[in-house]
Order: sequence, then C-alpha cells, then structure tokens
Amino acid sequence: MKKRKEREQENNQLNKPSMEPLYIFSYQTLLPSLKKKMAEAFAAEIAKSLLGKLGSFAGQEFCLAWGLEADIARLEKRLKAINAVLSDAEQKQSKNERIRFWLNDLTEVLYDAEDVLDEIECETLRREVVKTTGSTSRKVRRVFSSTNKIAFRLRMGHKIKSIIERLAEISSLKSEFNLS
Amino acid sequence: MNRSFESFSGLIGRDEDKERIINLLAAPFKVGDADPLVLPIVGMGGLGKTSLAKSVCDDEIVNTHHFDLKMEACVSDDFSLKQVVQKIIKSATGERCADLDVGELNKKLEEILNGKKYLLLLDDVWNEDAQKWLLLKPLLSKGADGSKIIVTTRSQRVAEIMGTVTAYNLSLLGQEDCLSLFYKCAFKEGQMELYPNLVGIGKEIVEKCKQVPLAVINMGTQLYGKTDEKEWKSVRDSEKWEEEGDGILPALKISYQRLPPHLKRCFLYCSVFPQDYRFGDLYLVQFWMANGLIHQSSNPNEKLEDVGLRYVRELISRCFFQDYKDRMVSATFKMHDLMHDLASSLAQNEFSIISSQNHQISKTTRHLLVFDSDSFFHKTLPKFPNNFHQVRSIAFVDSIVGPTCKTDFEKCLLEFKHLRSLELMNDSEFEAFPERIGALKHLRYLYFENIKRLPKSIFKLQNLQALDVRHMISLRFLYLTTQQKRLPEGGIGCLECHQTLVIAYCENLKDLCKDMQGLKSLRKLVIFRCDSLISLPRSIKCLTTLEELFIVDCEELDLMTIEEKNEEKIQPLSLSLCIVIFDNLPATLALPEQLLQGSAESLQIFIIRGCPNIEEIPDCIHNLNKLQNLEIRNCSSLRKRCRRATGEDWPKIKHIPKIKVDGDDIGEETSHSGSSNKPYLNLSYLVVHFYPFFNSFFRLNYFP
Repeated sequence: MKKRKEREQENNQLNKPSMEPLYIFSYQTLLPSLKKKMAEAFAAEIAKSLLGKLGSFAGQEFCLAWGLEADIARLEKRLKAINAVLSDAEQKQSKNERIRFWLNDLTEVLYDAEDVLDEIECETLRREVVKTTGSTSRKVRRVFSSTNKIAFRLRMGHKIKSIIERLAEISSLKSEFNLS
Repeated sequence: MNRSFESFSGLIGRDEDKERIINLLAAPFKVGDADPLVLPIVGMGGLGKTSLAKSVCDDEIVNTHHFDLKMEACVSDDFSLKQVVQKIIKSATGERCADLDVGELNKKLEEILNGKKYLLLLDDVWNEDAQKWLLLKPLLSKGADGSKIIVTTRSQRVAEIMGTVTAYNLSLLGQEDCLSLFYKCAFKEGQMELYPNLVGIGKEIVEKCKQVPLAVINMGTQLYGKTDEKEWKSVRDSEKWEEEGDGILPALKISYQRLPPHLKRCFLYCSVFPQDYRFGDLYLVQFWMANGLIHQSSNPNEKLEDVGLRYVRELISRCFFQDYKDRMVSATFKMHDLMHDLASSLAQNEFSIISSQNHQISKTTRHLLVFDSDSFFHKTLPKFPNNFHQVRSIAFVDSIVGPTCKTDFEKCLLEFKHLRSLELMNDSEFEAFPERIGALKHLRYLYFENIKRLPKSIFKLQNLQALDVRHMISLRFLYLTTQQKRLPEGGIGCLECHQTLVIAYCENLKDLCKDMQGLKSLRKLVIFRCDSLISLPRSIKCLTTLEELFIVDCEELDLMTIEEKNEEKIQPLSLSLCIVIFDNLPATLALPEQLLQGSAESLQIFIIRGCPNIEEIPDCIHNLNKLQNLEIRNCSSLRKRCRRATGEDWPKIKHIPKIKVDGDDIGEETSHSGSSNKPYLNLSYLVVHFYPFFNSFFRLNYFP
C-alpha cells in the first residue's frame, strides 16, 4: 500500500494543470503527520466475548477439577470492572490520544487473556474427545495422566495471575481519564 | 441483493463519457494503426473507471462490433507477467492453469488469441515499469486486426507507457449528477418529496463529497431509510470531513464510523486479504468465526453461520463490498481498493504485510499477509524471533517454492503457537502438509489451494488422519475433492456439528460413506461434478436438519438409490428440505419420492434441470403444500407432461404458484414473476458456478 501511495504522490508532481482537481485527495498523502496514528481499539468487543466465554466456563466440571475456579472468578471480576468504562473510553478515543494508547495497551492484554482461555477450552475439548472415543494406546493415556493435569493447572493458573496483574496495572490508570 | 453497490453505480452522468469511449473503440481499423489498440482510462480512485469500462464492454454497440472474445483481468498491484497471463487465460476459458510454467502459459495465450478479434479490459494497472509491459505486449499482438485493449489506471505514467492512443481522462462527476445519484441511494422511491428538510441537508453533504461518485454512493446508502434530521446533520457536520493526511476519502471514514463495533471489526479483518481479492461469503464467514468475530445470536435457531451471512449482507447494503455475484450456493464480492486502503490504514497496528520491500513486523502484529514468502522465511523469521507467538492468522499469497520451502514452512509453523487461521492461497511445492500442523491446537480455519500439487491429493492427507477426522468434532465446513473411489466410514459421518458439506470434482468417487446419518447438524449438502458417482447412501434420508440439497453434474448417478426398495416398510420421514436442485443427472430415471414426501411441509423451491430420462412427476408433488417454485428445464418427457391444463402431470403441480418450464412461466401467478423480493427466487440466474480453485477447506478446533 505504501508503495502505491508513493506512486500516487509522484503522479501529483507530474500532473498537468488540467488534472489538478482530480488529485484533491491525494495531495493529502504528502502530509506525513497522521500516517503513524494508532488504530482504533476494540477493547469493548473483545472484553464482551471474553466475558461470554468466562460465563460459559462457570460451574463447569473442569474448572473445579483443575482448581482454576478461584483464578477464573477473579479474572471475571477484573474484566467486569474495566468493561464498565469501556464504551465511554472508546467514544473518547478519537479525541484523546492518551485514551487511545491506553485502549491499545488494554487490547493487548485482552488478546493474551483470550489465548489463555482458548487454551483451557482446547484442553477440555481434547479431554472430551478422548473420553468419548476412548484411547487405546497406553502412550496416549499417559499423556493425559494426572501429573499432566497438575502441570497444566499450574501453567494456566500462572498465566491467569499474570494477566490479572497486568489488568490491575492498566485499570489503575483509568482514573486519570475521567471515564464513566 | 436488492440494494447493493451495483444497483447504484449504474452510471449516472457518464453517458457522454461512455459514448466517446465507444466511438474510440468502434472506429474502423486502418492499415498502419497500432495493433492492438490500447486505450487507457485515467482518473483518481473512486471516479468509476472500472464501472465505466465494464459498461462499455457490455454495451450493445460494442457487442455488434463482433469481438470474437471478450476478456477481463484485474492487474492491481502485482504486475507479474505470469499472473497477468494466467488471469487473461482464466477470463477467456475459465481454466486456472496453475501448473503451467511461463513458456507454456504464453503459448496457451497465443493459441487462444490467435486470429481472433478480441476486447480485453486490464483493470486497475499500477505498473510503471515499461519493460514489463514490453514483455506482455507481443503476446497480445497475436489477435486479429482491430483487437482492442482498455486499461484503467490512476497513473498518467501508466497511460503514457501503455496507450497507443491519447488517454481518456475521466473527470469528476457533475454536481447535478452527484445530487441525483445521492438521492437515488438515500431515498426510497417516492419518499424524497416527503422530507424537504433532508433534501437540503443532503445537498450540503454531496458538496462535501467533492464530486467523487464513490463517496456520494457511500454517503447516500448510509442514510438510506433514515428520516431523523439529527442523523443527517451529524453526517454533514462530522469532523472527519476536515481530517487530513492519509489520502482516504473522508466519506468512507464517516461510513466506517457509523458501523456498529462488531461490523467494524469484521470489516477491518478483510484487510488481511489482498487487494482485488474475490471474497466468497461462506469462506469469509468461516474466517470471521475462526477469529471469534461473530456473536452468538439470541435466537437459538440462528447459527453462527447465519449471523455471519447477516453481517455480510449488512456490509454489502452499506456498500463496503461491491461487485456482488450470487451463485446460489455461495455469493462472491470484492472490496473497492479505496475501501481496502481504509481498512488497512485503520488496522495497521495488528496487521502486517510482508513483501519484498517490507519484512518488518511489530510486537502488536496479530495478522500477517505474506506476498513474498522468501523474504518472510529468510528475513522476517530470523530477525523478529519473539514476535510470533501472538500471531493469529497468516495468509501466504504467493506460491511457496524452492528447495528448502518445506522445511522453512515447517519451521515457521513451530513459531506460531496461537495461530487460528492459516491460508495458502497459491499452490506450494511441498508434497504433503507438514505434520507439525497437528501442534497448532488453536487452528480453526485451514485453507489451501490447488491440492493437485500435493501429488497424493487431499484424500491422502485425509487418510493420514483418517482416524482423526472423527476427532475434529468442531468441524463445521468442509469442501472435499478427492481421487479416491470411496469415502471411508467412521470419517465424515462422525462430524456431529457439521453444517456445510461440499463434495466436488471427485472424478473417481463411486459411493459416499454409508454413515451419513451421523451428520446431525448438516444444513447444506452440495454434490457437484462427481462423474463416477453411482449411488447415494440411503442415510441421506436421515438428515433431518438438512435444508438445502444441490446435486449437480453427476453423469452416472441414479437418485433412486436413496429410496428404500421395499415400499411397504417405509416409515414416514420428517425432513426439513427447503431448496432442492437436481441438475444434469442423465442416469436418473425417476425422482426420489420418499425424500420429497418427507419434506412436504418445508420444501419451497424445487428445480429439475437436464434430467431427460425422468419419466414423470411423482404423485407426492401434489402433497408439497409449501412448494412455491418449480422449475423444469431440459427434461424432454417432463416438459410434455407438465403442459398447462392438458399435460398428464398438470393436476399434480397445478397448486404451485410459480412454475417455469424451459423458461416459460406456466404457473398461475405469471403476472408477479420478476417482482420477487428474495434474491434466490430469481430463477433466471440459477446456473450454479463453482470456483474450481476452492479445492479444500477445513475448520478445525482440534487436531490431535
């Protein structure tokens, strides 16, 4: 795309006078000021889908069995608190660059949170498949043994905690923006 | 689609331009003229160059000038000789020619053009390298005298390089024409007079569009059906009109701003696809689903796929997509390049394009479009080793070739731990898909083209994981092409969530798997071009969720194999088929009565074409209460028997409101034909086309 823009600029310089009105918009490409502007963040959309996912986790057997329920509940609480101000923040982002940066940072954490939740979801799906179709080989059974379960729980618990911490940090900044 | 870009871009105020261009094309050929004549149409983006050029090509006067061959190729950013030649051949013959080398391609093009008087449209050319054009030009000179080429471009320089006559400079659209275009888009018929206040605001909005028709159309469709003055004023007073600096039409930004957030995201994700990409609605929806962009509907009957298709329709009616073509089974469309620029500019945080010029990616990159896989493997990968674990989708546009391509690709798969979508848009040189793919446990969308290059074919890959297909419990969409004779049991039949199954271009396939009843959620089944297929399993009758059944071009297939033979034992079925199409099934002697009877309360559209050996309409048609449309074409005996009032089968079908036999309406409500609201009822466009390059496609959640 950049290449194309440059060529368009060159065209402008080569322009014959009669062509001038045609490039009324392209002239603006000569101004680099906004080229590097931050993109719009969709934190609210992602938060919404995360909360939906967390809702579907609630009360599920695996959460209890893996001892993840406390972590997941805390994550949910954090997310809900942030989610409450997101629509206001997103409306203000076009005018306030700092809010935009804040939202972008938040989006990054939310994406990472989504990856963790997907990992948990994946693991449940996998167990479901093994349970319903049965695994004959001893090797496969060993992979799903309890030691692995503990390792998985620890890993996930650790990841969730780190995400909660990052959320807390970002959350503490929100008071600066006067969001409602 | 009633309200789409095409219905507005019908060239208001371009009659004079069109006439002049046609005159240029129609001028008789004189000895000494350049051959072929190359006419460039130049103008900035959004003026309607392509619409104008296409309408010229379709014009009757041009048609009467006896071009033996009309072709169209969208050149866009990449002017690689090979790809341009491929596109021209594809436009002329429909062949994709993916496995021919440059020499063979050139020879083929020469054969196609040889001695023919052709008209070629090269759309959206950016190439300013005269050398490249000089390589293509001789190939195009094999046509007969009087062949013509139209080139559309934004660049004067391109016009100078390619044109053999003075370029046609397309001017801005006249202010008056802009106004009428806007009103046409913004008001329902007859509504304009009711809202004089809006007409005034509309005029001010049009003035801000600076006579660019694309902007005018977008603004108009944004406000269609909206009668609240405040809303119109907010568009007029938007600060985006004043925003400077990125070369994107302000009107498009305002359109975008007015989208609800979920559609904004879906739109931005479209920038992962290259410019001028032809989207297929079913595929795009699966891609969105893979990236979690589609919200579960509150209506439990509305599946994610339906919600996604609703999003597509909304984006089309707001003119974010254009060039819409309804193919019955699937619809396709494109994005205007200015729309693509808009999406890319807004998504630049998360999306990166890797080309021979740019191999950078950032820590926030989550989606990658790779134009130059060589740079990607050898520059990007080693340089940014820590930026890959967060990447969610990657699409390779070019072919992955070269001696180390397989190991490179395999290594790169290792890096992407959270990949949700993987696309190889062109053929690749490695023979089998790397095993590593199994480690991508988040993968939901996998697409690769031209499986012919995997010499053991897609089915071999299926065999490798034949046991595993049943583990892919989240699979919802599968397009299968295979060289095998049979589909194994315990494979596809185990996919309980599966929604759409397309079995196409399987020349050796004799039988489908018998355990089809396991497809408990299947809603769409397409069987297409299976030349050896003899029978269908009876278990198809157990698919109670199936809504659409298309069986097309199966030379050997006898549909009666679905039916139970011993008629006394049949239990009444309760099926939910809404649309059934049987097309070109010469080996079928009778219609499957049990299947149709089972759908008595749901079947709305029934189309039989090219089944000359079907003797009669079965009695059960009489019981199909909901049937609205019956079309019979190229069925010699049925035609006689269905003659209005006098035909033997007439009493069985006379209750159907709309009946068409070989193009003639013979049903009762003939006066209403053509005014139907539903796009798929437009029976004159029922030819089912497929894109042969969509060879296979999976959505998977789990791949052990």
